[in-house]
Amino acid sequence: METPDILIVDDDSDLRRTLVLLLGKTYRVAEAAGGPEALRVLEDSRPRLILLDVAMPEMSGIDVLRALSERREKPRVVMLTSHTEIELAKTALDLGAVEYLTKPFDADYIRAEVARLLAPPPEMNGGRPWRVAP
Amino acid sequence: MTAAIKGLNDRLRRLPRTAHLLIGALLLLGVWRLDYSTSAQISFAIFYLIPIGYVAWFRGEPWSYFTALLSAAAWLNADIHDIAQHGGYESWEVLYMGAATRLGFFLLVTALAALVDRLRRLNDVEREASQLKSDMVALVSHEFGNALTTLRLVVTLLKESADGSEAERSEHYAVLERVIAHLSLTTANFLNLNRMSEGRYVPHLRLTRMRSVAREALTLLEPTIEDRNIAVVLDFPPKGVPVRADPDALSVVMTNLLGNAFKYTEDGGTVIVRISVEENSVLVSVEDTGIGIAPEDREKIMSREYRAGAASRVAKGYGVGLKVVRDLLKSQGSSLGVESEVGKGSRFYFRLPLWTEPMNDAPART
Repeated sequence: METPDILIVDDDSDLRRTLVLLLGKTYRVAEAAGGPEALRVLEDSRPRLILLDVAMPEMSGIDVLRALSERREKPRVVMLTSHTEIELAKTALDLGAVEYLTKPFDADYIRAEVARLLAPPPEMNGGRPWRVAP
Repeated sequence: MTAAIKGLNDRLRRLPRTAHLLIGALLLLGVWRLDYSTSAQISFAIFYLIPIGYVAWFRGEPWSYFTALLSAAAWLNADIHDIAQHGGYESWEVLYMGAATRLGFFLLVTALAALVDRLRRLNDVEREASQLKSDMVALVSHEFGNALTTLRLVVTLLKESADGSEAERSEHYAVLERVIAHLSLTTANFLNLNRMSEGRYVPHLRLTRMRSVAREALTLLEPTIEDRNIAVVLDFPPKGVPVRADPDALSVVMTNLLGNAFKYTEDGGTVIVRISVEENSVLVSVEDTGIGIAPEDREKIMSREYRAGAASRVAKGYGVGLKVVRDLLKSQGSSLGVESEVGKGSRFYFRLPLWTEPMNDAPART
């Protein structure tokens, strides 16, 4: 399978499928219905971004993040949370997540955030070659 | 130190109830023996508070009062023995006055212990109620957050696919229908839970047609399994099954049990709704070929102490719905049973009394 840009991990199948359809228009997207499945997917591929739900049965988003933090190569993770899970989201940031998005969010917002996080790092000096001081 | 005491307390709490009475009796016997063998000049009365306190803490009323009474009698017995040995008071009345004073003292302490115990219980109830409220807020926030996000994204997708294929659009509409059905059920559950937690729910038991209630619940949930190729098997008796129940409550029960069965069954699985008439009751069961529930999760979702918040992390979705089902069935004198095997499926069941009175009552559901 081609390496996906984004892996979407959420146990809510409708939300997950909708996110796949929405972001799939622009990016290569893979999906996982829970923590264990996400870890399996990550064994074979290295997506550039993971959208990870916090509250999931079996294995929470925080548990997934802990499992990932033991790996040498750490993917960029964005947590998906509801308002009452903000404390957990902060724990997630401590564990290495780069951002958290609070549900409900709309299409423009998630597209802008994903574009920002997947944008190549800005080139130094506006892409012009460095002038070396004489 | 406090951890050691707490550990001992927890261990003792797990003992059977009769074991506490036995320990209380042994403590009382020990104190009485010491009292008996020492002179009346050494007052032993205060040590009787050990067995009294033990029984009050672990068994509560009325056993604590009984222990107080026995302790006063034991003290009297030890004192009489002492008088026989060393000579007595100036008057016998002093002896009985002494015993009565001890009894009063013991009863006072017992009453205080009972009061503390009641306050502690009241505090637990308050704490549980406030925990339930904050769990409810957390779950509402979670469920509605997910649903609103999905609705917003699907609306965007629909706008953008104005020129898209019919199949694509109908998939979006199916998602909208599922989310709306889920939101309706979630709202009904929360309203019911709230009414029950405030003690405002009174079941209105009347003639209810079990087959109709089950069919209506199925009709409501059908849009949620469209395109999922789930086989629904209805194993109903050929004739009507009148039961004594609150039809509205029963409707919520069936919708939740079916909703869970559909939710946790893979596409292509089977859900069996069975109604069978027994001697004086009706057995209703909802069986699925879904993911099943592990024994430790089964205990959590079925226990009285189980809280919605904890469950949202353990077995989300079974959370509030099952609590509502359990409470609604309990209010009608029934209870929910479950059998499950991980990877094979689950079976939830309950019994209701068969309607035995003449059918002149206007049918609640036709």
